[in-house]
Amino acid sequence: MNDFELESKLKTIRVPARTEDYWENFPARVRAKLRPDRGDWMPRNHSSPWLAWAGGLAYACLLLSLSVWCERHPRQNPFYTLFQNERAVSKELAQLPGHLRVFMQDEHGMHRLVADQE
Amino acid sequence: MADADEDLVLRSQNGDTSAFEMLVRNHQQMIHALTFRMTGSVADADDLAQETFIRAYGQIGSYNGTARFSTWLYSIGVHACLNWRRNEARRYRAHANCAEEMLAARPDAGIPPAESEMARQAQAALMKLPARQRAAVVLTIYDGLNHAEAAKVLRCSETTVSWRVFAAKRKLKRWLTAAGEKP
Repeated sequence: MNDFELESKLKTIRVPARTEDYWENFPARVRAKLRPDRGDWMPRNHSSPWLAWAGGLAYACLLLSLSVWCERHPRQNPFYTLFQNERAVSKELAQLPGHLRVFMQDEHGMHRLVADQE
Repeated sequence: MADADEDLVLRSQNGDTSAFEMLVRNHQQMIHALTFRMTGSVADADDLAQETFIRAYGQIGSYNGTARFSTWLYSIGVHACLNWRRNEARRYRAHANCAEEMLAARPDAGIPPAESEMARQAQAALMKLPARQRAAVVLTIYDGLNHAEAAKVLRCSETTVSWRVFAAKRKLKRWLTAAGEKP
């Protein structure tokens, strides 16, 4: 079978004819279905309230766990450590005015570099 | 874009559904022919034609007039057909029913029985092709698009279209020759 014979065979398939009524009513049927779908090319926002609620709930849980943890481990609380460091720095500055060059913080605590001269 | 379509598209983009209804009226036969050739079933073709127009309305804001409206719409129709998922049972049912549906929907005024039989065999063979190869055949053989135009509609390369047409024709020739040899 060559290409021409194949195409001739394939072209014997005819698209079924529809009644005049069908063609007359089809556009209106499509139009009736368009109305609820008008939002298709507009931003959909019906999922945002769920997202907002989920986000809010997650944030609240995070705050609650953080506050519980801070209450139970006051010494490991980063805010507590920062406050302690600030007090230590102020004290050192008062004792050695003009001699302190560097403060360092590591797992062993605060360290300072003191210069001989101002 | 044809002038008549241009105005209707602009109005549809502004939410005028009566203008879109006119566009449906202008292109409904083209889309029905496409969906029937892709599915081989009158009922599925109707559903897919409707889905094509609904999708087109949903995306009409993105139509920028660089291609003809009919080409743009046709592309949506082809992709709606390609995404049409059928289970195996539905596929077999379509095979079995397509000829009967064709005869029922069209009382074959004056068509010789031999031609009806040939059409039934051709439709069955077409339906056995993978959807993408069938789409390539429909676009190039029935609609007369060249491979470059078909590639634009199918959103693939021209080489891919050529390969799909070649592979599809090879299978169709084999199946139709075998079907013709059966007593």
